[in-house]
This record gives sequence, C-alpha cells and structure tokens, in this order.
Amino acid sequence: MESSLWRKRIEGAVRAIGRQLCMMLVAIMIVMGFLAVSGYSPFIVWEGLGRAFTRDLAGTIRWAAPMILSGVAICIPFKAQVYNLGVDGQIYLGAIAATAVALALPSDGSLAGLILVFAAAALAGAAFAMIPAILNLYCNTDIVVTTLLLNFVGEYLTEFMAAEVMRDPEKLTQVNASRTLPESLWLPKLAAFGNSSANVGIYIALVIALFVSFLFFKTTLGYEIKLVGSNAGFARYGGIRSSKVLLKAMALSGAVAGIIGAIEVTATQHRLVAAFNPDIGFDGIVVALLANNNPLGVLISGFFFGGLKNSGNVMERVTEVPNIVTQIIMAIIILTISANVTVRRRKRKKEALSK
Amino acid sequence: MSIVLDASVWASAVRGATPILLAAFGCLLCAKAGITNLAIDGFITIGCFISVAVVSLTGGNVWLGMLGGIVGTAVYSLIFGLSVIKFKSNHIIASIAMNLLSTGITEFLMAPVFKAQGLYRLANIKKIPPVSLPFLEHVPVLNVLVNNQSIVVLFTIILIFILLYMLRKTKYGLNVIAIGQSAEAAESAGIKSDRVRWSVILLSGAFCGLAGSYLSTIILSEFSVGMVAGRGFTAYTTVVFGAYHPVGVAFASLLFGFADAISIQIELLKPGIATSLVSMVPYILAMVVLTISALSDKLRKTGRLEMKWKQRKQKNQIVH
Repeated sequence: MESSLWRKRIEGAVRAIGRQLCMMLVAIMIVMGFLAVSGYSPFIVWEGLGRAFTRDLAGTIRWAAPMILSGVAICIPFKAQVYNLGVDGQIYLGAIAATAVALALPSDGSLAGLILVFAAAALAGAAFAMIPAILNLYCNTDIVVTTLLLNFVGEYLTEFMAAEVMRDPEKLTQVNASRTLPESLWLPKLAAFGNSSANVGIYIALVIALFVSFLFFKTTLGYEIKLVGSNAGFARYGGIRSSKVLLKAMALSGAVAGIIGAIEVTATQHRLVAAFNPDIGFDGIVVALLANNNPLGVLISGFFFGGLKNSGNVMERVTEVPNIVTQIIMAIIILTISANVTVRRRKRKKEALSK
Repeated sequence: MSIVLDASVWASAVRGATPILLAAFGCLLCAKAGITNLAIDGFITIGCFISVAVVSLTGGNVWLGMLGGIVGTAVYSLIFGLSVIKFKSNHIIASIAMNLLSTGITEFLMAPVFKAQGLYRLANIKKIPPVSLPFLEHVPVLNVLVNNQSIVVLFTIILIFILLYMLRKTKYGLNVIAIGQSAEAAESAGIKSDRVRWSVILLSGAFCGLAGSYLSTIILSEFSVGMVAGRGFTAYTTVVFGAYHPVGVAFASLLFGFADAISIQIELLKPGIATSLVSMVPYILAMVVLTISALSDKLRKTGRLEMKWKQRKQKNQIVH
C-alpha cells in the first residue's frame, strides 16, 4: 500500500518534471529560431548553457541564490491566489535598509552585524510589501497594480538614496553609488570556487527555501494559505480570516525579497548602486510557475534559471549576443507553462465526460 | 500657482495624456469584455519600436511609421490573444509574460536593426507639423488644449466620442459589454464570444501601437530601452479611476498628463530637486488615485457613502 503510493508520487513528479523540461525545450527552440533570423548562430544558447553548468558553475551558483529566493517570494502569496508582482521594489527596499544599517554599524562586529543587516533588510522588504496588502484590505485597491507601481517607486527611491543621501562624497564618478561597505560585513565567498562570484548566499537561499517548505507543508499558516488560495469560501467557513492570511503571506514574501536585496548588497555589489537589480522579481514568476508553486521545486528550477541567467552573461562575454535573450526565453516559458495547465485540465474534463 | 494656470503646461499635459489615453482605450475595451489586459505596457513598447524601425527604414516617413506601429502591434497582440483566449491562461500572468517578452525582444533587436545599444535617435525624421485650427482661436479653453496639437491628439479626442457611441449604441459595443458581464449568457444569446474577445485584443494592440508611435516619433524622435516607463500601468489606473467610462478615463489620463507636465516644469524651474524624487510622482499619484476610486467603490457597495449623504441632507433640512 505504502510503496504503491510512493511509486505514484514519484511517477507524478517525474511526469511533471518531464513536462516542464519539454516546455523549456520549446522556449529554447523558439529563441534559437529567433537568433538564427537575426543573424547570430543559434547554437550559442546550448554553448552558453553548457558552460554555465560546467566551467562557469560559480556564476550559476551566484545567480541561483537570488533566483531561488525570488521564486520563494513569489510562490508564497501565489499559493493564496494573491499576486505579489512588486518583488523587485521589495528587493530595492531591502538593499537600501541593508546598506544603511551596514554603513551605520561599527566596522568590527562581523557575524552579529551581518545578522542585523539581514534582519533590517527583511523588515524593510516586509514593510514595503505591507503597503499594497493594507491598501487592499482596507480600501479594496487592486493588489496587482499597486505592487507593479511600487516597483517604480522602489527603483527611484534607490536611485535617490544612492545619488543623494548615501552618495560616496570622495568618489567623483558618474555612477550613483553609496560608500563601500566595511569588509567585515561582506558575505563570504565559497572557498571551493576560489576567487569567483559564488558566495554563501546560496546556503541562505537553501535554508529559506527549506524553511518555507516546512511552513507550507507542516504548519497551520501554510495550510491556511493553501486553503485560502484553493477555496476562499470554504476557508471562511472553516473560520480562517483571509485578511490575516493575506497580510502574513505578503509580509513573508516581502521579507524574503528584502533578503535578496541584502545578499546582492553584501555579497556582490558591496555598496548600494542605483538600478542594480536586473528584474530578479519578475524572473521569480517563471521560477515559481515552473516549480508549480512548490518551494522544494523552486530549489531545482531556481538553480536552473540561475544557470540560464549566467549563460546569458557568458554568451554576452564570449559572443555578441546580448544577455537579454534569457529574458525572452523566460517570457516564452511563462506563456507556454501558463497555457499548458489548462490544456491538461480540459483533457481531463473530456475524459471524465466520456466516462 | 502660476504653473497650474500656464497655457503651455496645459498644452503639454494634453500631449502627455494622449499616449496614456490611447492605451487606456485598449485596456478599457478589454476590461469591458472581461479581459484584464496589463500587457498594454508591452504593446506600447512594441509600438514604439516598430514605428521607429519603419521610420528609419523609409527615410523618415512618420506616416508609414505610424501605420507600421498600428498594424505591427495589432499582429503582436495576437500572441496575447492566443495565450488568453485559446489557451485560457491566467490574464495577469500572461500579461506579465508579454511585458517581459516585449522589453526582451525590443532590447534584443536594437543591435541587429538599429546597430545601437540602449538608445537610438532618428536623425532623418520628417516630423508631421501640428494642426492649427484657426476657428478655435477665440474659444478660451479649447484653444489652449486642442489648437496646434498633433493630428494624433485630435484623433484621440474624437475617439473618446466614437468609443462612447460604440459602447452605448452599436451592436458590437453591446456584445462586448454582454460578454464581460456574463460570457455564458452572451453565448446562449448567439454572440460568438471568442470572436469578440479576439477583436478587442486586436483593437487594444492597434491603439497601443498608435500610442507607441505617438510617443516615439511625434513627442520624441528616438527609441530607448525603458522609454515607456510603466505608462501601460498608468493607463490601467486611469481606466479604473475613470470608472470604465470613456469620458471619465479621458479626464483621468489628463490628470496624469498634467502631473507629467508639472514635473517637467519643476525640473526646469528648480534644478536643485532630485530628478529621482520627481520621477516618483506619477506612480505615487497613480496609487493614490487607485486607492480613492477603490475606496469610494467599496463605500458605495456597502452603502456607507449614501448613508452619510442622507444624514447630511437631513441635517441641512433641520437647519433650514
């Protein structure tokens, strides 16, 4: 009995992964055609991907951390059928808070200081995510549009902080950036990869993804989030206040997004740079969709998209193909996956009808 | 205070409002047919790109650029239609994907098409002169708002009334509204709902294409990455704030055009203020506006607004 259940589960998982792989292949094929039409060699994509998972694995690990976290940040409210499309803005707020705290701290407190920096970033991200949630609760404002609009606010706020408030007065460069963080507050690099961009952020991403999985599958809050998402009326009947669940889910999502900002600042930028964020939040949508909003699946798909993102950078470095190609691939993957779900469902309905 | 009454500011407010309003019309039609179309932001980007490409290829012909922008974007919007109508994807997720695709494709194609990165200026553009309407010269408000504007502005203003007529009086418009209210009921009444849905998405693509070509070849003469700057989301906001009514949407978009014009004036007059802070204003305004309309909607639904109004009325009667 037990074993057949497990076999069914494994079969389901394998089938799900196979389907997602097919979707990705379709997307990559389309982009290959696209590359060929515009005069590049279409096989560059494979070359880039190959290098991203072998020689340039360090870059993949560097990008996997924000991708996984962004996927987690997106999938928490998605599970409750709430769309938090403002992850980018929350990342910016997290980065601002992280930089502000890091620059204010005395330069010798290493681990405690780092924890403080991350806590501040998580708080700032959560607070920024609460704005649309509260507006939605009390004024019924459309959460999709407010989160989208707040992305722009976050981006300009970062530019303002980097250019005016925290600007490094000694450097006369054109770049809008703050002072560099004290070296004791830099997130350590992974020793195994030598002097590369791979950093401890991947462990943080792993821990948070596991923590959120635990939350989803083993706690009341996770159950409430899932129930509100799948059947709000039933959830209300069962005594769950969907408003509270919405607030908690958004706060959690914002906190995770804020941590991405902190990782970006402490691990790679080492200062607050205007417009440092290459739309990681929107990439999170495809990560979460591909993983079917499962935080454990996000670990796998986030790692893959980290590789994709890295392969874009590799392609740009090696050939002339701009790294924006990866964004096209992701957009096509989103379109195909969101379409596929309903096709499958319709088939099932037809089968049920024929029976 | 003098800025608010300045004629040139109001004229530039109308110019700024035009692309937002055009995009909002597309969004409005889709919303009436029950489709949440946030992809208009990406459609505008595509419209900008195609018209700039056509203008640069045809040696500066803006008319052809406009035509190309409209047709090309309408064709591009078919992808959204395919995803939303044929494959029944979630509207919001499909919209976001379309926006990512639009910015991705345009940024990618900049190198092969324009041989440029990030910004491409049209050097050989033959601008369309503004239309002067001599009979308006003695009409106080209209003269400032409408006279000596581009032909697209005039077209957009006429479009407000066409849309109003269409949604109220024509069979097509009523079909659109019927589908939005209940697709099943409309189907059983013999309306081919999918065909109507395709048509509103195509129309939204065409409107956004015009908005894009107005932005890139008439207001400016360039294409740059991120030039649309979330105008599609602003357009969506105006649709909500304008209570899904063409005239209301027009006034709402004028508000955003005005905010745009004022912020340009502020930057010119007071160079000390950080541009990043001024750039934030439209987005915060959009949020405030959205909140106000949602709140009043909520109060109306729960009946609290009417109650307050009645109380006030009674008070006044007592005083009299």
